[in-house]
Order: sequence, then C-alpha cells, then structure tokens
Amino acid sequence: MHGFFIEKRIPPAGVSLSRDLAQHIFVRSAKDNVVVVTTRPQDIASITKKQWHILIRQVQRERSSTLNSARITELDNQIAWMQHLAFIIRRTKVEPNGGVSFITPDEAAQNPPGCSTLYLMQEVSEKQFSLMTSGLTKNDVVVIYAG
Amino acid sequence: MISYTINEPEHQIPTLPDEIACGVCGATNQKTDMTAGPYSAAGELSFICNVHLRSSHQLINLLADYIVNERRQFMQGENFEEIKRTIPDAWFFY
Repeated sequence: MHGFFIEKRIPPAGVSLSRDLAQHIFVRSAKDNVVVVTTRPQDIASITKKQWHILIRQVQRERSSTLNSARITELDNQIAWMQHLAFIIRRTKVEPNGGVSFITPDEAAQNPPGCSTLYLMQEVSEKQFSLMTSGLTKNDVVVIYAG
Repeated sequence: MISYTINEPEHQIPTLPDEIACGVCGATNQKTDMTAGPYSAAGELSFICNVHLRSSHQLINLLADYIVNERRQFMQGENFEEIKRTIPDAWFFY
C-alpha cells in the first residue's frame, strides 16, 4: 500500500448519492484524474453530471454576487474547470486526462487506475480493493460509499 | 446523523492524529467529522469540516478563499529551479 487515505461516507439525510458524489468531487478540486468505480457506470455518470451542472450554476451565482477580486478570479477558474470537466465511461485503461472516469469494479481491478481520488460506490472484495488501489500513491484519497 | 470515517489501511502505521484542523476555517475536529479536501500549497491533503458542506454558499466561498491563499503561498514559496515533481500542480497556475 502506498499511503493513500480512506474516507468512508454516508450521504446526509435528504442528499442523494449522486449529489454527494458531485459535491465531493468539487471539494476535492483535483485537476488530475478522478475515477468512480460502480456496477452502473452509465447511470451514475448521467445523474452525477446533472448534479455537477447544478453545482456549476451555484458557483456562477456566487461569482456574480461577490466584489472580492481575488475570489472572483478564483471562481472564474473554478467555473472554467467545472465546465470543461469531462465525464467519461471508460472501457479501457484510464488515461491521464484529468476527467472523471466511470468504470466497473472488474475493469478497475484489471487496469488499476492512477488517480488522485477513487470513489467506490459499492462493496468490493478485499482482493479487488487491493488490485484497484495498487496504482494510488501518497496523499491520494479513496472514498467508500457505505450502505 | 452524518457518519464519516477517515482511516488508513490496517497494515500502515496510522499517521493522522484523531483530531485534525479544517483547512478552510482552522477549527480542530475529529477525523470522523471531516471530509477530504483539496491539496495544500505543500502538496498535502487538507480536510474540511462536514458542517461546511451543508451550505453550498458557504462551501463555495470558503473553498475559493482557501485556494487563493494556497496559491499565494505556492507562488511565493516555490523555488522554480528545483521543481522535481513529474506532474506540476497545474491548477496553481492560470
């Protein structure tokens, strides 16, 4: 193992899994690879992208309501990053393009992704977990959605 | 009740203290009350109080201010001739 951190999350009451996922991706603000491991990559990618666009509008609202020049510049950066962030359903090895890739547990175990944040949307075996996290390094984060 | 846990894998020596400081507000909280946040200017993982996640308005502004401060530290403190990282922290550059 390489010193990555594990965070176990349960979305708060009234917050959907996709909304919590989108918010966590935003909070992490990682400009390199993000990988979401799920048995339903198509569905999760679609609904997470919708939540992501809701977040973009919220950031845009904050940007237009502040007079702090440094904050305005940073929010402009964030909006640009958020608008260009690609949500990709991968079937082959995750390439370092800085997008959010949605892959199945089998794909993650066969081609361990190198990323700053790995999200596990359901339980996997210890062997699968070990395989899919073998590409992570120090200060990378694994987020496990329990329940 | 929100339940979050941040753990290191069992076979690693735990390095995180039980209480850690929030990167955006400075408050010290239990690990279970924190969410993994962005990287600091030093490339270290920061943590954010879960309470900030309840308000999008607060979260967006606190996060923006945090990144502005980290960028300032990064730009002032970095010795560019000694950058050894293979992947630059591109997000600190416009």
